[in-house]
Amino acid sequence: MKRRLIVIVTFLAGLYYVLEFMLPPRIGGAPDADGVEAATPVHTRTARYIAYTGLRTDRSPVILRVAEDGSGPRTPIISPHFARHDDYRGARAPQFVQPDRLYYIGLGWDDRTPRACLARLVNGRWRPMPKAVLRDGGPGEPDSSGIGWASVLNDPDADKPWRMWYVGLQGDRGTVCLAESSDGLSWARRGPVRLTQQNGDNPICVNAVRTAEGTVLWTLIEDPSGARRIRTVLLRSDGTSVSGVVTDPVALSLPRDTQIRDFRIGSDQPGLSALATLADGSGRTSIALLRPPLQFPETRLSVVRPSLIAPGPKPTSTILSDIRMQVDDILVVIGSFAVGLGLIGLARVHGKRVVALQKGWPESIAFFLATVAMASFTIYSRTHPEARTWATRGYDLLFYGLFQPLGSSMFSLLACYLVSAAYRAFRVRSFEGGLLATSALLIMLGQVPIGNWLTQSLPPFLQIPKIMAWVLFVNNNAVVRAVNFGIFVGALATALRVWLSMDRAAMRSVE
Amino acid sequence: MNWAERLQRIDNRVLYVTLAVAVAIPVFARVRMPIPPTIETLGAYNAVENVPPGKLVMVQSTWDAGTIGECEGQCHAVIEHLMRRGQPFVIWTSNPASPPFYNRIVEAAAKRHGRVYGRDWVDFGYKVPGNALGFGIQSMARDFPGYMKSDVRGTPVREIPALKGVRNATDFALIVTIGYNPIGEFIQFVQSVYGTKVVFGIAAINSTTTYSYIDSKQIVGMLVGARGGAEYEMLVKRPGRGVQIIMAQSFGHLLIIVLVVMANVSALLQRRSARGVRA
Repeated sequence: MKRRLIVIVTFLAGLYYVLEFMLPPRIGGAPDADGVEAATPVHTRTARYIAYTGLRTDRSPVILRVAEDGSGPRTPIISPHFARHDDYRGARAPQFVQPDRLYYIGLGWDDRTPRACLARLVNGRWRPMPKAVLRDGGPGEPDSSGIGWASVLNDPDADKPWRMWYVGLQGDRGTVCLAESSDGLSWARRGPVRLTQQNGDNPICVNAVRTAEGTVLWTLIEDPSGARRIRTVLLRSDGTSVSGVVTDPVALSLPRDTQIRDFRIGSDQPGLSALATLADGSGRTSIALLRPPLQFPETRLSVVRPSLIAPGPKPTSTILSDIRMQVDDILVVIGSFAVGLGLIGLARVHGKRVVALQKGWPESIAFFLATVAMASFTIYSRTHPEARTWATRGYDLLFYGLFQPLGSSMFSLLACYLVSAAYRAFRVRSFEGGLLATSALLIMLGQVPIGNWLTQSLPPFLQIPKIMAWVLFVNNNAVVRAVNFGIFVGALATALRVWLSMDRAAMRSVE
Repeated sequence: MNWAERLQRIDNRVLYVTLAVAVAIPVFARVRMPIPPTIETLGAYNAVENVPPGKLVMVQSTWDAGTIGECEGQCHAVIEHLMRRGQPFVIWTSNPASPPFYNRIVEAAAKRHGRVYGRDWVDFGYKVPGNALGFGIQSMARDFPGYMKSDVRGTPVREIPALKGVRNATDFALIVTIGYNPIGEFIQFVQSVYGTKVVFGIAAINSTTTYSYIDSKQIVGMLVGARGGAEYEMLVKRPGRGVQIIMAQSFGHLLIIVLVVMANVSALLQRRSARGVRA
C-alpha cells in the first residue's frame, strides 16, 4: 500500500512538471491582452488606421493595427522574426512618417537592447528592414544602453532633411539626443539636445513637431518622485539648442486616478492630435485621444476620447503555472521532512550507543553536542539579528572557527593524495602516454603564474600560457564535443532500443 | 636498492611534508610573480565593465568551506568590481552553507565603498535547492518577483529600491555564477531564452568541459579556479586571497611536476639497466 502510494505521488508530480513544462501557461486571448501602449496614427494613400504596441506578459511585444475609432479586428503588422536580430525580442513604439515609413523600437536578440528600426510599406504590407537604422552607442555615450523612443521628422529646410530626436538610455537614465540622415536609413549622431532640466528629471518620450515658428519638442518627463509632466520647447535650426520659448509644464487634464505613460503627436484634421497611453491605479493601460490647441506655445492637452483602444480579451489560464509555487513549496516541505527524519534516525542510533556505552560513545556525545549547539546558536542569532549576543559569538566560533577550517581541511587532503598518486602512477610507457603527460604538465604549469614567469622571455608560440590556451580551446574543445556527441548518440540509440523492445531480454533478466 | 629504485619509492610522509613546505614558502616569503589575464578572465572582466550604469547584475554564489581556495578569490574580485562601479546587484545561492562566506565579502566591500543595502545590492540568501536548479532558475527567469518573493530581511521584492520594475531575466544585464560546478541551467533557461549574458566562475577541475561555451559565445567569460580569481583581482587592482593562493599553488604544481619527471627518469634508467643485465 505504502509503495503504491509513493508510486502514485511520484507519477503525479512527474506528470505535473512535464505538463507544466510542455504546455503554455495561458491559451488563447488577444495579442494585446495585457496592455496597450505607444500608438501612432497611420495615414497612407489607401488606408487610415492606428498602429500601436500590444503587450502580453508571456510573449514579445508586437505592433498591431486597428481602425481609427478603435473598433474592429486588431491585426499584427510587425512581429518578431527569427531572421531579424534587431527586433527578435519584440517591436514597440511605432511612428508613422509620410508617405511609407514606420519607425519603431526593436528589442534586439543579444540582450534586448532597444534600437531604432524601420519598416517600409510595400504593396500594402509593412516590410521591416533586415537591420536597425540606429543602434545603441558606445560605452560612456548617453545612448550606451539603447534607444528608448524615437521621433523622426522629414524637414526639407534642414541641411540633412531627415532628423531623429530620440531618448538615449544609459542604464535607467534617459537623455534626449539628435541624429541626422540624408536618406532616413543611415543616421549620424549629433549629440544630446541641450534641454535645461532639473536634477533627477528623466525624459521618457519625445515628439518633434514642425510649426510655423520652427521645430517644437514635446517631452514627457518623470521627476524623482515618479510624477510625470509634459514640457514643450522651441528649438533653433541646429536641432540641439533651445531658442528660449519653453512651456513647462503643459496643462494636462486626465481622467481621475490615471497617469500618462507615453504620447505621440501626429497630424490630423484640423491640426494636431496626440495618442497617449494612460494607466489607471491598477496598472491597466489604454490609449486615449488628446488634442492640443492649434498654435504654439501650447499650454494645454485635453482628453477627447479617454479609452480609444483598450486591451483585448484575456487568455485562459491552464492553472498549471498558477499553482507552480504551491507545488514547489510542497516538494520543499517533503524534502524538509526527510532532513528531520534523518536527524531523528541519527539521534536514535547515537542515543542507543551512548545509553549502552558501546564502542564510540564519546563520538556520539560529540554528535549531540554539535547538533544542539549549532542549532541553538543559529536559531537565536537568526531571531535576534541586530543584537551582538553570546549566540552570535557562539555561531561565529562554530561556523568560522570550526566548520570552515574542517571543510577546507577535508578538501586540502586531496592535495596530498594528488601528489602521491601523480608521483606513483604517472609513468610514460608509450608515445601516446608521453603526449598525455606532456600536455598535462603544460596545463599544470600554465594554470599558475610560474609557467608564465619561466617562459615570458621566449617567443609567444613557446610561452606556456599561449600553449595552454591552444590546448584548452582547440584540442580540449574538440575532444569534449566529440565525447558529448558520442554520449548523446549512444543515449538516443539506447532509448530507441528500449522503445522498440529490442532490449526485452535484458529487461526480463532484471525483472 | 640502487638510487633509481629509491627515487621511485619515496615514502608518502616525505611527500606530504615536502608539499607542505612547498606550499608554505610563498605564503611566508611573500613571493610575487606577474599574473597576466587569460582570454576567459578578460571576458568576465569586460562583461562586468560593460554593464550599463544602473542595470542589474545577478550573482549566484554556491561555494563554501570545501571550495574556498578556488572560489573565494573569484567572489572577492567580482564583488569588488561591482561595488566599485556602483553596479546594483542581487546575490543568492543554492547551497545553504554558502551565505556566511559570501556575506563576509559583500559586507566588507559595501563598507569600503559606502554602498547601501537595498539600493546597491540585495541578498536573497538560500533560494533554490541544488537538486531543483532547473525548475528554480526557469521560474526565476520567467517571473523574478513572483519566485523570489522577498529578500533575506523579509522585504518584498517590489518594495526594494534596487529591484524597482524588475520582471524577469531580461531586466538583468549579466549573471555571474561562482561555485565548484558550472550551473549549465543558466545557459539552458536564461541565456538561450532571454539573451542575458552569463559568466562562470568555477573550480579548475570542472573547467575543461566548459571551454566550449566560450567558443560558442554562450558564456562571455569564465574564471577558472584560483587562477581566475587571482587574474581578476589583478585586473581590479586589489590583490587578495586569490593572489595569495595562486602563489602557493604555483609551488605545489612545480613540486608535482618535479616529482613526476624524477620518477619517470628514474624508471627509464632502471628499465635500461635491467635490459643491460638481460643482454
